[in-house]
Amino acid sequence: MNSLGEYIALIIILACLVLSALSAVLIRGQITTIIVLSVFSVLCAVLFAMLQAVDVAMAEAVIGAGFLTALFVTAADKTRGQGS
Amino acid sequence: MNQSYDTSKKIRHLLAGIFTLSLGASLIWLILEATGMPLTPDLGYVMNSVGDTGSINVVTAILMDYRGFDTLGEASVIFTSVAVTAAILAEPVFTLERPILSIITRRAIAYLVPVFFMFPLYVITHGHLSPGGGFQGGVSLAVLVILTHVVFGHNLAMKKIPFSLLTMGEYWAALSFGILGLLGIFTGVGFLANLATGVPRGIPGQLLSGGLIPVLNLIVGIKVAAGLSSLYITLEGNPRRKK
Amino acid sequence: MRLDPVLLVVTPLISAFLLSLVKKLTPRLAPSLALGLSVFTLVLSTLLAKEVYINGPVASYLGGWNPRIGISLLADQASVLLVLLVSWGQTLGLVFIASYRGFTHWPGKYLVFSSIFTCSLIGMALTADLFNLFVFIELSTVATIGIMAKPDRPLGSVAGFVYLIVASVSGSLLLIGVVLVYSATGSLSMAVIAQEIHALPPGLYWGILLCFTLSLGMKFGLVPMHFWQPWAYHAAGCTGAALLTAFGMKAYLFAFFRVLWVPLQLPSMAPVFFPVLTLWGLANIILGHTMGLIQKDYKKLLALSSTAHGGYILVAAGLAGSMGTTTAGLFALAAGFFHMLNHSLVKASLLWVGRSFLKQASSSTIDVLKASPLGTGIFVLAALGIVGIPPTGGFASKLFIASSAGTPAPVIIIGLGTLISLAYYLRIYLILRDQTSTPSIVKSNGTSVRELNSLFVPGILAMGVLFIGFSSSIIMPVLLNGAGAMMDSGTYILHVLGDLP
Repeated sequence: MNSLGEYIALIIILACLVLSALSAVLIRGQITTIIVLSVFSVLCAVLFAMLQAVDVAMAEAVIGAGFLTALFVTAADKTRGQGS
Repeated sequence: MNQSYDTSKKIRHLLAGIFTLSLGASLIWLILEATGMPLTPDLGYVMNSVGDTGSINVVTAILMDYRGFDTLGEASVIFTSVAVTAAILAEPVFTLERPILSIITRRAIAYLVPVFFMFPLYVITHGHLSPGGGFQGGVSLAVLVILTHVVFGHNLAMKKIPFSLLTMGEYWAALSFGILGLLGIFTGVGFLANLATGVPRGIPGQLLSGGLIPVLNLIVGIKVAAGLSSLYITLEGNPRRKK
Repeated sequence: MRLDPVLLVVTPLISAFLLSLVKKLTPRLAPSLALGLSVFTLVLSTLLAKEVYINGPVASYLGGWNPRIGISLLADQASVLLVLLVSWGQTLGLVFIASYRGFTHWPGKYLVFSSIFTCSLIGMALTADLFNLFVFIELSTVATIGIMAKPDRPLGSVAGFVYLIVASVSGSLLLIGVVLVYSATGSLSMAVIAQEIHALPPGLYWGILLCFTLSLGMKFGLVPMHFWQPWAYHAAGCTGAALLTAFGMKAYLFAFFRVLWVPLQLPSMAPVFFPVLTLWGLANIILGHTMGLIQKDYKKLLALSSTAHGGYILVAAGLAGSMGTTTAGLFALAAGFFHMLNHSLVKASLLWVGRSFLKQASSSTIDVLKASPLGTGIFVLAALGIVGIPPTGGFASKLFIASSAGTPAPVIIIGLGTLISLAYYLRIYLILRDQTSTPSIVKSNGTSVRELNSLFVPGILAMGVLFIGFSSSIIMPVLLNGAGAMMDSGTYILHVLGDLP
């Protein structure tokens, strides 16, 4: 890490990662969980970009935040009201 | 929360938590142990990749050239998962529907879509020059197809981007990936060989450089975009099953 | 120029892509094309096996890269045996389907999935790269779900989903193992890892070993993690289940042994794990057989019997590892290979002949199975083979494994397992014999002719079991060669890194 600012930003992102991962498990309600998971993916992507892994960051952002969210929402919509 | 948990459920949750935590702790310990090993000398990816492959993006050089066979394998995984989904679910059918979003959104998105398309196309075609590549660009394209479906409704989107086009695009891209790999066999170098087959390297840093890498990026881009968007369409076009 | 082993992986893969295209354009052409391509793979694998056994192992460097930075494959005396087995399995499976369905339109995408499955199994056998192994295992997972799940069988989708979860856990564990190995040794090539792994601290080494054992154990059904198998094979349909258990399980076992012997260097790093493996295998035998005894469903019973037979192979490998590269050790592993061959033939035969029983009873519950006299005959022959009655290959392989054990405990457990399996196969035979007497099956319409045709391939396989029983003295030297190649990691490293700088 180059500077103190970057270090602090890293700590904040890591804390938010843990927080969003935990809330994804604890929150009830499918759609909310899916959105929280996509927040997790975005944070992951930012982290990867900070750690100089831009390729991975791009893949994580596109897949985790974009594509998977769409798939999960579709699946949740299709299975709504079918038991638990 | 008003729900009252019975004790057995509580205990099970507690056990699951303890298990997860201990698993995570041991994993962290193992990773610390592993990364604490004295690093072996650099294999030469960073130093030699431009000379070896002509791609100035080392990640793409590894993905598409040094370990191109793994990329073929992973692309086949996507291919197979799409085929499995299609085999389990029925052919996608969209009945008549009203567009979901308002006219303002639709018009605005209609003007923006060409701009949106520039990003994945840039990522795919410049995979050997800048971060990204066929895979990332392909997924972005798939997301754009999803956007078209969400904004303009399924019927219009299916008319503009026919399902058969996506399926065929995926099959042909997969086939051409394999056949392109055979080029290396015919020239006697090895499957999926790049510069060693005699294709021109070009000047590293220019758009047409890196031998077969841009071609592979394009193929992977088409394959991933077509595969993932048809995955979405198959899911979305499947009628909701009543119990 | 020597035959490039990568062609064995690429041919089924390109066939799968080609077949999905052909299936879209001219569906009637697909079955014959699939059979042709699969016979082509078989010819290639025979040529490769001949080449390897005459001129020694063949390495393939993908993209022409040095194995330290690129991916390499190695076809040695052990892996070509598995390649041969798998390509025979694929071809026979297609012939079997053709025997009752003809060469017209085949519904579903079985052709594509079985091609991809074959590709991934062959890749697992040949690869000399740890991450490449992971890729092939992932590919085989997805193909397995494709073989299992069918739209008209809702249970298939459920079993596919259960398998997907098991496979995700297994895949994550494997990936963690690969990542740990890579960050500790700096390489993914099995040969290079084998040279570097001695520097690892014991804690890290055991962690990696545990990751690989649990992950691959889930795949081939190591005892507490075999629960998905009955459901999966029950859902898969007889044709697909035979592919999964008779050939898929062998490939996972083979990959496991390769990982233990070459990159992880188990004989020198942690020889104490081999007796553990033997014990684990014995637990597999006991639990698989006893759970089979109380099972009421034909396919689930065969799945549990597969768990038990995986145990026999594990016992053989554990014994071989404990004894090291001695004559006795080589013999034990060769006996394990012999059991693999025997079990593949027998299990495929039982499942495929079982298809006609299930079809006639339109149920897979054992108590209502119906059989034609010929079907019963084939069943008896195959059951003799799997139980291990003297003239068959099963007797020879079990005898070889038991005779390798220095202590009486494994011998007793193997004998006990044999008795239990004798009991449940006898039960099925008695039910089949009672049902055979009802002459309602012998109708002169087309369907019963097709049912008769469908007995052709399992019949050949059952005869094969008898044949390998008689010719074990011819087969064993070949398998001993293979066992030698598996256990001698020095030669492996030499052939992978060999003439390259």
